[in-house]
Amino acid sequence: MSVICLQNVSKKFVIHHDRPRSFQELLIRTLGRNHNHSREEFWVLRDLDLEVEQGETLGIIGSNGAGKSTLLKLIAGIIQPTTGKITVKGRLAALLELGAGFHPDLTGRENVFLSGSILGLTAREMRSRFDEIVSFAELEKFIDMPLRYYSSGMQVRLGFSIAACLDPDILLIDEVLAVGDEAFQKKCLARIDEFCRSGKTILLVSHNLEAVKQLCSRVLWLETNQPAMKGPAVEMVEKYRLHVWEEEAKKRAQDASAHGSVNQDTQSVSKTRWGSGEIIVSDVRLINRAGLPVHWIQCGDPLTIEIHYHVQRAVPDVVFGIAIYRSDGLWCYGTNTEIDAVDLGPLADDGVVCVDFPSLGLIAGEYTLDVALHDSDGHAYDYWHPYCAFSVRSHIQDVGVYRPAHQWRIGERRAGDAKEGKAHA
Amino acid sequence: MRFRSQLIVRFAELIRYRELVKNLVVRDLKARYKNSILGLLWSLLNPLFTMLVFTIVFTFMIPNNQISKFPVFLLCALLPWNFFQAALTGCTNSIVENATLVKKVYFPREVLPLSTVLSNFVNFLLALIVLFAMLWAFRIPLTRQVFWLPVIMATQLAFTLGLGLILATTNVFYRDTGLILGVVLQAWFFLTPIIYPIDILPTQRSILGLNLNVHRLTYILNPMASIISSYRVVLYHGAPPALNFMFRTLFTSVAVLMLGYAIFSHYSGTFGEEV
Repeated sequence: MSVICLQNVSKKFVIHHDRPRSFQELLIRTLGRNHNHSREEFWVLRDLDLEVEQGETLGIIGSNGAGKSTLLKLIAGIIQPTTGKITVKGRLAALLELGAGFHPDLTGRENVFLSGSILGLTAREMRSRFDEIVSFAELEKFIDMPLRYYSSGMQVRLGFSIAACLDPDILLIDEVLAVGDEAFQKKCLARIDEFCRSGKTILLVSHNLEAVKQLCSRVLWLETNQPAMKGPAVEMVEKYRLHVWEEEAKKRAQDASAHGSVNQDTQSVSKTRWGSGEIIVSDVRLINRAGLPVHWIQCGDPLTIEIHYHVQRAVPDVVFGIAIYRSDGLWCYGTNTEIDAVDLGPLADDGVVCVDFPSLGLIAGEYTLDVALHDSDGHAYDYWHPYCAFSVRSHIQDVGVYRPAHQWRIGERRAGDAKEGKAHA
Repeated sequence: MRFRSQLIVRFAELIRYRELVKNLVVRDLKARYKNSILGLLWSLLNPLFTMLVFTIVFTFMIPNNQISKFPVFLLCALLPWNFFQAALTGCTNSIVENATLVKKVYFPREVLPLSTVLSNFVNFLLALIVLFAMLWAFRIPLTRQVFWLPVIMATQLAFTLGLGLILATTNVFYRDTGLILGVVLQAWFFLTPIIYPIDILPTQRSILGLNLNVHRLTYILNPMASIISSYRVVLYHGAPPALNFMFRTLFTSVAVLMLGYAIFSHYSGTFGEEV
């Protein structure tokens, strides 16, 4: 049974560039006979059909401004569709903002009841949930204090707890997962997971693609200037990632042609670079199996990192190093020519040093690459943290950080079988 | 027909959200009185102080004043007017002030102006305590006519809420509604028989060659004149209100309320994006 049904829903926003915002302006406009209304229309959603089944967890992804929040607001009834019809069956709670309606002068307790009634609950329903809310937020000691003395983290915790204990049939969540400290975020995710398993219908807007893949079965991908797409979560997330990379590559190409430089790397990553500059990194390229420079590779494929350098002043002691971080900051791997005992010999003024990975064992995800030139004491000549971002793609849904070569087998352990390590991944 | 059934659906939903109305009223009152111990006292002292000023002006500075027990005479009218003024001002800002809520949470929007009117009404009821104390102090006996008070209050509530709904809507689109309202309210205060009895208005007055019955016109054109006079007649004079005008006013007020609700309902769907 579908609990949310959208038929042909479109939403148009109109920006009136010089619409009078006050009677004063209206009067001046009328007297001045200045009637050129310049208005700009844009469609955020166009002819969207969507059915969400009871108990389904639907992820909504897409670039900023693609209409994800607008869609949730339409379903919640906060704004009205320009055309089309939306039907919702069951009690709906929309978490578009945590702690909406909190008043700083009231105590935590009073705010819990106020917030509950804003979300449509009766006093009796709130009373029966009150203790659960307070203990989930871990605010027992402060609940009778005015909210103005709460830290922002405490307010957010209280806001989420109220929402989490609402027990609605349908829950709309818009990026509110990015709140609180890490421990609380985990708790929130666990709570949402619990919701999913207890048969609630959930619509989740998030930029945290890994969370979307974990929580959602199906994903709706909204994008400006292209029709909405629906499909299995993993497939849609990968398609979306591909799209983002293609867009970035296009932008890079445009920037490169605009600036006349060959390779201005990913602008989206915030970079830091330091060092004394005797020898500098002039370019870094990721080379795939086919020998082409890329910004993504398939999981399990070979990868070559080319570090192009330029010597400004000759120095006797140079170490080339790389490090790979996952997008959430996890340090996945790091090595350098000193650790690997590579003899570089005398360096030319301009040259290239390569690292070959027969198979980069990382699982699908977003990563960044650090590149460093330093001496053996750690004094940096040129240190890029990070140099660029890249992604690893895969259709395999394994989890963790890396994918060691492995295979599955049915039967007894073969004692003393020395050839076991042969992998078909 | 469809329009009317829509209004009924809206009204049913509003009833479902009565808990929220109650909580918002409580929030308003608590927030008003919590910050200062003098909060409640202050809201009682404020009209008393205004009363004192007008009494000084009208009895010492303009001494040929025929009205006996002028402070009570004034207070009977001043308190309902203060309620009217505060409620209208509050309503005007109610949607814009709660913009974050309106943009992020769904609930019937009329909850906001309604709770503003109601919390000001509670305030008004509290202030009536002072009025009754003054009546007692000036030895003005309460008569059975006091039982008309609920009808008069209901009339005023309907009129205030109706206007408030319209102003709340207007303010979303034109943000200087509040400023204009301030000026209008000031003029309205003097056009309404608050600091003077309605009987002093002339029944015949020639303005630009037109012979106008200002007394009757005031009654007809200004519902607040009828409402305020009714309070005064019932409390100060202890006489029955002029039923003819009172029921006309009640009818007008209910009409204004319906109109206000219809306008508000029509535009409230766009508040989420316009505010």
